[in-house]
Amino acid sequence: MSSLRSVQRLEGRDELLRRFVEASRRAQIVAIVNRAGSESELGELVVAELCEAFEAEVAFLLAARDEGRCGLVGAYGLKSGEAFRLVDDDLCGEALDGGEPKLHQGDDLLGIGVRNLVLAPFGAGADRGAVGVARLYDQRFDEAEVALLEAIAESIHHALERVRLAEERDRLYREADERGQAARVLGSVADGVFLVDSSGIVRLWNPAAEAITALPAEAVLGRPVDEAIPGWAAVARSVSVGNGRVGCSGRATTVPIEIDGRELWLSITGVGFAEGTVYAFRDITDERQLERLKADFIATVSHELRTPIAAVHGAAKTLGREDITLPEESRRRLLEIIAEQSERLAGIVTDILLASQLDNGNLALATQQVDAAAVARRVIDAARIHAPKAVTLELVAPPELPPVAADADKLQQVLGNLVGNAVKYSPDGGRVEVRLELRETGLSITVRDEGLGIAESELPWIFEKFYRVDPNMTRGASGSGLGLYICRELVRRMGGSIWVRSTPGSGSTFSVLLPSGELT
Amino acid sequence: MSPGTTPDVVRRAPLAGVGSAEGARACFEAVEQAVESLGEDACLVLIFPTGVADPGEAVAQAQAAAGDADVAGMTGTGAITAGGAIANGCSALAFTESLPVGVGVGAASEPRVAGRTAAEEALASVDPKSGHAVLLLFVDSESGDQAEIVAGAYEIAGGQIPLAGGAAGGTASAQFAGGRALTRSVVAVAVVASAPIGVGIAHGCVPRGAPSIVTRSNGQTVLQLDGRPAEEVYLEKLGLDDVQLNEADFEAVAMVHPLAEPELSGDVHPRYVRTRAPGGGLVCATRLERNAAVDICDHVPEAIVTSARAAVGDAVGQLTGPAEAALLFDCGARSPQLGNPLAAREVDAIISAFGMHPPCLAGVYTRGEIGRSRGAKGDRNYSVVVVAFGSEA
Repeated sequence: MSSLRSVQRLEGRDELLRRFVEASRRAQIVAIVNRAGSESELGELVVAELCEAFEAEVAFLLAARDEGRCGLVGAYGLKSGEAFRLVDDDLCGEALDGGEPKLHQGDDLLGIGVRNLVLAPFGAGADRGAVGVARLYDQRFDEAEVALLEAIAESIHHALERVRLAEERDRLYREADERGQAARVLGSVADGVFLVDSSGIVRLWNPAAEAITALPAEAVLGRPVDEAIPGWAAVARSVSVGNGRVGCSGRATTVPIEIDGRELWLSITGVGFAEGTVYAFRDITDERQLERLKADFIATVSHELRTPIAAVHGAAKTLGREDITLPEESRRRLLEIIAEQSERLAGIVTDILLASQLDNGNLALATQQVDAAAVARRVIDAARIHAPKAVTLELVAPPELPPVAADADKLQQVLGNLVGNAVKYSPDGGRVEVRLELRETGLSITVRDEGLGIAESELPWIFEKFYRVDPNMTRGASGSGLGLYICRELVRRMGGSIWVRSTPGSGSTFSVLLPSGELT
Repeated sequence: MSPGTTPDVVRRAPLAGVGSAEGARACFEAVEQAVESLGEDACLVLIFPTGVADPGEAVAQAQAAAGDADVAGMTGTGAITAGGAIANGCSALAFTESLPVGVGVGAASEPRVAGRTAAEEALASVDPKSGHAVLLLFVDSESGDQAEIVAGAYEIAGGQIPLAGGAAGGTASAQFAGGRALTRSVVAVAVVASAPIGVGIAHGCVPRGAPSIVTRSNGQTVLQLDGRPAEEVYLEKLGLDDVQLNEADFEAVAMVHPLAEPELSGDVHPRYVRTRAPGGGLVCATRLERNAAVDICDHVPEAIVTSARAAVGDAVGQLTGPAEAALLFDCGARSPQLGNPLAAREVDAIISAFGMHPPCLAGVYTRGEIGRSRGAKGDRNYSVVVVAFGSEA
């Protein structure tokens, strides 16, 4: 187009005008790149404008990627296959190494028929890149064009920094938003969730984890998991950890954790990922307790029922034998055994039913003004009938006592249990004293024996359902494990309280405090 | 041959045959002549009817005369023949069947997509690397930003294939392909020849005064120049700031005073000012970015004639010998500056620029030109685009 340009060339315009046009082109491109909202958009917009500004067929923008690789940000005038070959081109790689803008001439530069190429590097380190414009026709880029491209490259560099910062900001906001959403989800789930990073530090501890363990987040977060969660080191190895792929999650494992003397049974599973392990757990202490109660119930029932049933069965079989003639005394004794053991069976069944009623809240109490001394006297009289001779039973009570508000039958059952236990656990005999005293807060009834006593470690548990003290410590004495549980529940329902003090080898003192007899 | 007379059948070369005619059967006759002058079967006939009321009828006539050959082209505000311009007729150029050609149509509402689709389809039928290729684009000036259409085609064609063509004109404008008349479409025609193909582009716009800066723009509308309403600055630089102009007056002024983007090479890139926008803006044929420098130009008659010769010289200069066939896409705003819409002066200048042996030549007056031989941009205004086909080996 030389002949044309001789007509339209701005012959009267001096160098100043050219500089004006250059400044305008640069300002145009700056305006365009500043409009870009992302690196890819910047690449797309700027290369087209570069082609127009430099009357070039091809323009491209390269940037350093991870591990020093050359990446394509945008290209114009190239088919996709041609564009992506640029990243492996030696000239482009060299430009990415920095330095001054370089002019290249040839017949087939970049493998796409380029005859004139100028590459202008920008930035340094991870932010380095290069911008290239290429002509397929034979017209060199002049010095002013190279200088303009260098200046534009600098603007592109700044724009790239800006969009990368903006993209990073958006990414962080997005991640924060996602984390916020995740936190809201984790905050609302009932399962405890915690994250342990690859260094073993707890990085997340959700509210459910706090609620289940009573370990506040501030006491756990940022600390080594072995220190933050008591007993974790002992159970961690048994916790199954999946790899996070679908179908590869860890199976739930049940582990005990003791926190401040409180035993928790947790069903826990973990999922490992690049940055650590996420654990999810739920409190199954109650379920575990229920399971234990069921097991205890079966064990107790089978044991406590088997003995009297066997006695009844044996006595009845003996009585039924036709091949022998039993003396009358023996027959009477066997019938007594059947009667006693039947009564014992009935008592066990009554206790089980009563415990069940207490559990279900179905027990109705007939509260009235009760003469506690009279009740205690009846209990002692009844106990004396079966008590070994080595055991003496004594009632100590002031001559005048105000009535208590209680269910007379249930109070008698409570005192009967306590006195019966006192007798049962006094195998060497001794004094069993039932003492009634008026206190400011009500009537105190204590049942003191001089028997085996109870180990200190067992004191917290003896009022629990089905709890039975170590048989080795009772010299064979046993029970259903329901008696003291029933005592506690009945006393509570009568508005009173019950507790025990004991010294192994010296006996035990069970105390009941009942409110005075003012009926409301 | 002169308009209105029975055209001579001229056989210039086996590459192409040309024909032209006027009247109700102009398309049929022009194509018939072109094919006859070729002397063998044609693979493609390009038609440029003008003054037609029914483009469908025009293409039907052309297809009937072309037989199995593809028919493509577009209407114009005038048709150009070697004998001059005609207002109500048709010029046609038939390519020999040995020439690989491909025709594609893009009808997407998105201009860039339409350009891409048409180019892709046209180039899919040929192997551009087997010879010298050109991609002709026939578009609708109402299809949106013409620069976007060209950009879409360029994405497919790349820098090795020159682009030429323009936007259809006339009272019932249309593009033609596949035996049909189309509107709001892009028709692309790929031609691959064994001899070089040259594309020359020139315009006759001369900047006046110092350039201004686009300080505010919105797409194709320049809102501000030098920080002031664009219309105010534009008219002030033309010395018309004290003159009240109605719309018709303004458009008449704008027709001969385009804006132009100065290029680093020293050339300018004219941009047609279509109309005024509310608030003092200027609506241009294509988008102008903020910070762009713009000249306000005069459309100068002498420069128009000179540029016509320059475009031919530029196109022929890319050949290794004389041109055997040529296509001409000439801005419909140029000839009126020379006295009348079909001024012979420009066509005479073009013919004479080809020298002693003018090629088979067909052309059309357009409402926007497409020409790219260097760089990536090819949307033009106020330009003449000459496609010169060299002698086949």
